[in-house]
Amino acid sequence: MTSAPQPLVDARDVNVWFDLPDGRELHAVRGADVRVNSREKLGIVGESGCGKSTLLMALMGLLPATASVSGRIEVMGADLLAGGERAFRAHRWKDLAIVFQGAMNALNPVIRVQRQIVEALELHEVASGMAAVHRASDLVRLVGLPEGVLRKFNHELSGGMRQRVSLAMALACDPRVLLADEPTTALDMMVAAQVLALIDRLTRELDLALVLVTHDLPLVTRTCDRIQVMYAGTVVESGTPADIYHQPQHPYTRLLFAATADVHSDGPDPVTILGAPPRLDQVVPGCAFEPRCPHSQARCATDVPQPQSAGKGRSWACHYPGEST
Amino acid sequence: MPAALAFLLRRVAVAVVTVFVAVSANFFLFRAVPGDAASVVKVPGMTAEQRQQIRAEFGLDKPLPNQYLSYLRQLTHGNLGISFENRKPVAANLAEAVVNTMPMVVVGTLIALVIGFATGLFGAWRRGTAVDAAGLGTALAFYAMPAQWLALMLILLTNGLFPSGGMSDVFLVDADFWTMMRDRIAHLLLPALTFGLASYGQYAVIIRSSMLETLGEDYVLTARAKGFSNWAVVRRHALRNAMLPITTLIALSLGTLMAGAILIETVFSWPGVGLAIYGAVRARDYPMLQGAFLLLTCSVILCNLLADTLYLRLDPRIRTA
Repeated sequence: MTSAPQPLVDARDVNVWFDLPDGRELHAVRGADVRVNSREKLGIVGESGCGKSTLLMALMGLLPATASVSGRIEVMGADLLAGGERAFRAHRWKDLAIVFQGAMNALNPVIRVQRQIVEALELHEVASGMAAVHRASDLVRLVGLPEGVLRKFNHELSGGMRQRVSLAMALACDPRVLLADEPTTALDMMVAAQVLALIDRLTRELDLALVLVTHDLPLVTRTCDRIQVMYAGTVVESGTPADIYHQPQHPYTRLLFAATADVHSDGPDPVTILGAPPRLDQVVPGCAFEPRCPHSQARCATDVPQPQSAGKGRSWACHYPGEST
Repeated sequence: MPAALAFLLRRVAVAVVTVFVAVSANFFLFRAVPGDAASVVKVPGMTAEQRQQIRAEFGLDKPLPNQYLSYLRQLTHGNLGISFENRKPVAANLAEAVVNTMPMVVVGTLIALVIGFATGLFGAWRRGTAVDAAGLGTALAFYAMPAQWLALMLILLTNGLFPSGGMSDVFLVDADFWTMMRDRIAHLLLPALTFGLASYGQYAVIIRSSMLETLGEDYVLTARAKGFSNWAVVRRHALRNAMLPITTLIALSLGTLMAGAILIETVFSWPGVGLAIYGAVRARDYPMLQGAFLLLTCSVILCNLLADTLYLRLDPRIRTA
């Protein structure tokens, strides 16, 4: 094989703007690239409001009508932005399935679990009739739930069970890529750990690619093959967990590690990153992280740092990379 | 399902108590108004003795608690009293009026529901567009219009194309079934249309807002992520949830339907409950009014009960609550 294998998801220079009611625009995602190869686990990390969920929604074409998207989004070789809603719909659930962060209401409250799984199977012609019902019970067993869950409604399930049902539903049509948008935010720590372990195990067993969006940097360094750190709608650093953990180049990445409490060691207390991310309804002249950066210099305020590639998916966008904190 | 049964029994009990309270209030309300059967009868040179005789005839000389008890006893036999005006049983008068009112308000409500659903659903789907604004604006304008004025305008605009009074052509005798039917429908058209136009606004607004709220829910996003088309998302996932508040509104308005529409029936001389109430007020026909009020309160209570039962079907959360 001479050519590199085609990535399942190849999105380049994705920009997302939201029209605000007052006529201004909010530039939520600013030239982000996402590549997901077969069986690869990609972690996208960043603070709240850095555009990671928006980026995920853009990949699925699920942004509201007030959003406009530019760039190129390819899924399994098909250019979806050019193909419009119809092209996106052709890939939803069959190739790209998603588990949402708001697991509490991700299931329809007036429809039984079984029907909600079966309808996806029928829509994509994976199975129908009794075969679909059997597949649904296989799926709930796969995520570690009893078959009886199929006859339940959303309000009869606990948070962890709901998220497992969401996962079972996402796996229904044998997708190639599983997107997980902060899949454990609404859950307590024990249940969150179980659900994450389940996602980790199933993606491996079913040969899925995974895109895990979270604000938990240590978590993705443990579970993912590649990491993208996002800040203010831009990917500021990407690389393998080893790269990111041992040689973080962007000061934001280093601060994210420093900001995490480690319950297993007697290391230093977590550090707070002072300030808040910039408002995305404004144009940022220089580096978006400049106001909060401990190493900012004159150039940072006026000059947007371009991503520098070090090959093999390793890159960062900083004028003064590697400055120690 | 015991939880569901308990829920239903509780609702039935509440309904029964409400009916009893309404019946009692209805009785005392009409004893509090000035005048009675004797004062209504205006015969020149009537003596006090004759007046007293009429009072005795209607049982008005007995103490109030006794009157109340006998009122309740008569009610259980379906006796609503005798109309002062035409000396016929109130129950018979009302039954005839209800039979007349029903086709008009049912067709009117269907018109209102169809236009209301179309406006509301489309508005929610194309939120913020010019079509949404125009649809909502039109709905509110019609809702704000006085029904009797709208009725007159429709008569004016249709320019005699349809009959503007009564339920049927009185000169149409011995006609065949289809001619009769056509005549009835022609008479029904304008009042029903007025009723529909005057009331669709409330449905449009509620359906639109309920739908908008539902479309913002996470499970709607899940349905879209599954690959359903926009219309399939609305039909399969959003509509049933959005229907929950709408069901209540429809059931409540069905209760008031019995009242017909006093103004519309008056304009079109439609011999229904509304016109009967109007006539009873003018003639101070207290038993008739009392009966009409009872009919209205009971139908509102019944329709509420119906809404609760429907809710039980539509929302599984109530079944286990």
